[in-house]
Amino acid sequence: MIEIKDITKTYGSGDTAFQALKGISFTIKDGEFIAIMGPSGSGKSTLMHILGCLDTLTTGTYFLDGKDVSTLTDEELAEIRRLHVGFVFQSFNLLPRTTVMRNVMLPLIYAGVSDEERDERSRKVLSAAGMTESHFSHLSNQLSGGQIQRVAIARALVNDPSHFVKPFIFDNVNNSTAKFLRGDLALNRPSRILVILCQSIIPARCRCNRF
Amino acid sequence: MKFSDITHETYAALSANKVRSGLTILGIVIGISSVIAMVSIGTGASNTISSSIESLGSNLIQITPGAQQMRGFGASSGRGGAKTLTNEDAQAIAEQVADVEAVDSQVSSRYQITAKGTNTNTSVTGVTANYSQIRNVEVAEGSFISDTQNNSASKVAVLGPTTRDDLFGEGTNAIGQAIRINGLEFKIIGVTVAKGGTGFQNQDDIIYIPVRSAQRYLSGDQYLTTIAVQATTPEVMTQVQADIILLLLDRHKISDAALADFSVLNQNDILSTASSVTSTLTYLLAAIGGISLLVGGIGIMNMMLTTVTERTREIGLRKAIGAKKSDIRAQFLAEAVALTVIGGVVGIALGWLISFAVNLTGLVTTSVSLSSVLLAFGVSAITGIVFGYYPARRAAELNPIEALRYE
Repeated sequence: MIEIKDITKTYGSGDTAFQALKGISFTIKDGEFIAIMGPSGSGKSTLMHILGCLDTLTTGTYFLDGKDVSTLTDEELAEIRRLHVGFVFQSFNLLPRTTVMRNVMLPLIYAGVSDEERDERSRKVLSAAGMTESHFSHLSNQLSGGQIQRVAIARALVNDPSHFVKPFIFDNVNNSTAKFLRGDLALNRPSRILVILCQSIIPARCRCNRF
Repeated sequence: MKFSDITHETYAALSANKVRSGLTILGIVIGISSVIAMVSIGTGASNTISSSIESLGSNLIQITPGAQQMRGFGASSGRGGAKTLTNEDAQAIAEQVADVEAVDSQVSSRYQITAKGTNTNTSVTGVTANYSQIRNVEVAEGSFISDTQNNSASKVAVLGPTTRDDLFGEGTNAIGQAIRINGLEFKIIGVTVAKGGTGFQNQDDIIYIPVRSAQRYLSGDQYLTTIAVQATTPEVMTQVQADIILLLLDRHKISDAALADFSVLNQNDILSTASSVTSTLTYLLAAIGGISLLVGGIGIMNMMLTTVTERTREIGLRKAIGAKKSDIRAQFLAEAVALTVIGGVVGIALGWLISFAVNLTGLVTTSVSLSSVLLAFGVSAITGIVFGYYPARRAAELNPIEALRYE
């Protein structure tokens, strides 16, 4: 459950101040699949950063599962990101010269999960994301574009304790990925919240609850 | 983040750019090895000097006539002014000062020596039987001067090996042959074991004769040039030295110690002077090594700052998926410490090798002490932490959004 009320975000201060978000309010219920649309520069990314607890808001309130996130410190935000948020970035940002497995494991490493469990969960989520076992030990710079997307999605999903709500935030999802999301991932866990950003209507076709 | 994960990340990061990591490590290797090698050479030099001073004898106190001039109208007696120590002074020290192991009275001067067509100019020292004990002189062939020979002022001589070589040729048997000192014939009864030089004089180029013979036939008076006293233990030396000064002041009827006509030299004083000189030398050498270590440390900081800039996006990503500041800081600090620890281990090995090589040249007997190894290792680890902390902190403080956007 995500509730935001009257949030604003202002970059800079004084004469150079730029208000990217001007009083946005909405609620996303558990299990919803949301697409945020708008032209370039309309504040989608800023909103996504705030929803993903990467950035703090200037004014307003943000409740994630009933918890007020807008007042947390950097360290507490890092904790929330580690446990509740999965990111897939626009450019995917896999670690270079690092194996697929290691890339997917990364959130688990920071969460302090044991070696065996790490391995097992990474394999499971990679298989679910459509990667074949033989690719697990490939380095990230040896992958095709589609594989990179799958690995990035697997990495966002790997840290997934069942009893938590997950807002998955996808940045500029293209058509094929959108289909893949629909088919394989979106309905794995009914309580999971998915948020995607897009400029066109295409991905919205994939059974989003609202857009 | 677990320790094994940090080591894994560190290994991956450092092996990603092997040449750069290698060069940075080289800086630390040079720093650490120079500290170890320099300190070992310094310690070695210090040990060499101390041991050559100790080879003069142990617990030694030397009393020499002072250059004290007469005050007022007394005619300055020049060299004669130094003739203040007598056989009786030596006798009194032996009998009246506590904790004295042995006393040796000496008369030393240089003479032209002749023997069967060869001749040399060397130091002739009149000594007692105690000399061999006090000054650690050992006889290689024959015997040393005995009390009987001294009391009867026999014309016998013990040669140093260098003098023997000069007069009779190397390795020849000189025992029983005769030499002429100041025109008088002395019979050779022994040759000493070689001791090596002590810097200013060659202890092996010397002739020993009984002190009474020296006084009777050579100097012609009752004065001594040196009284050597051996204390029973190193602890009592200061006390023995003070007692000797009091006794001699009393015997020479001098009330003001500043006007004493003799000077008392404690071997410990010589040792401490020499060791303060050599320890200064060691500090100097260590400082030179320390500077190269500092330069190596700056190299590490430089590399780590470059790394942080290069991996800004990676840092942003790590933070976005939940890495805490402390995780990022630990990761970059671990890389810096790993560089210095690897450099430290290799540097210690290299320093050891250098010190071993210097040893082989035979100039100085170097010694690598455990403490200098531990110190160098500690310093290298601290260097890593100090020079790695700033870049690591910079990485940890990066804003994840800005970092992800960084190109």
